[in-house]
Amino acid sequence: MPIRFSACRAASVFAMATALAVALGAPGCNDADLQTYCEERESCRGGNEQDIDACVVASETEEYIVSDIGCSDEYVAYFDCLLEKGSCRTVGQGQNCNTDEDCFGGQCSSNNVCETKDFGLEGEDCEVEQRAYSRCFDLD
Amino acid sequence: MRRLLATAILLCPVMFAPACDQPSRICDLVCECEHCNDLSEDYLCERVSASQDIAAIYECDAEWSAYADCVEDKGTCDEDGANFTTRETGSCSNTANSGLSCTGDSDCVNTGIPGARCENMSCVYTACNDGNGQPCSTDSDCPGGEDKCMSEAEKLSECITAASDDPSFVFFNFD
Repeated sequence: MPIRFSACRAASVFAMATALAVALGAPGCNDADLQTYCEERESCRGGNEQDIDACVVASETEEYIVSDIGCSDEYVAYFDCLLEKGSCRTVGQGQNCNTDEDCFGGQCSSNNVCETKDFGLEGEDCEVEQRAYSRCFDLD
Repeated sequence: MRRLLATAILLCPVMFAPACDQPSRICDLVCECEHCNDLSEDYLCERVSASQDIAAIYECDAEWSAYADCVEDKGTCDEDGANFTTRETGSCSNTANSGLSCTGDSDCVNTGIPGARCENMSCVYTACNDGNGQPCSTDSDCPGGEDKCMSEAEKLSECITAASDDPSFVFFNFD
């Protein structure tokens, strides 16, 4: 018995297809979670709500450029790993000091080295993802 | 910013208004001068636009507009060097002394300083007039003098620093 393809059935199929297409193509399906990253980063650094918003804008700019050159997958993979394994830790700024005023936004440690707090990775965490992301930019 | 936006709308057909906003104009100025490739132009335009958005987040719109106005009004293109800058033009007009003795120009060849010559028994060379003694052959070789938009840039930086609690925050510059 032949299947009759009524107008109603056509409309419902079209609606389902459209919904599926929208779901698959919806923004954020393959985007890095920049909001969470910025919240983590600014919480670590002592930033305020404006700092979080500024971080998101800056990160979105980087994401746009990354997408432009075809490195979105590597970018997202790196950020996913960063969010999973990253932590708030004290890092050296590479500068000697006597007082906190000698440090750009940081503090002078007991060893007379400028330090600051930042959200990031330890050791070899996410090294594979980091290398893939970095290599993606290489023109060599 | 509102004044500039109003001006842009008056000067540009409505359908082209988005292409006439200030970040786009600044991007065009820089890239026409510096022969940007497609990717670097895209990146620059995004950075300038993002800097405007970030300034707005910190309620520093007026300071951003003042800096952007200055860049547009006072920026110049060094066509030989393909460099857009707001700095005063450098000048390759100073004569600097290398401190090495000589009896003839050939004694100065091994100084390693391009164009060094022997004058009054000393190896001298043409240098930038900024007092740093950098050798040069044309004005384009010299980094230039005072930044004509330094005051506006500093006010923008101060505004954002005052609003931010992040000691490590680094703001986008246009250059």
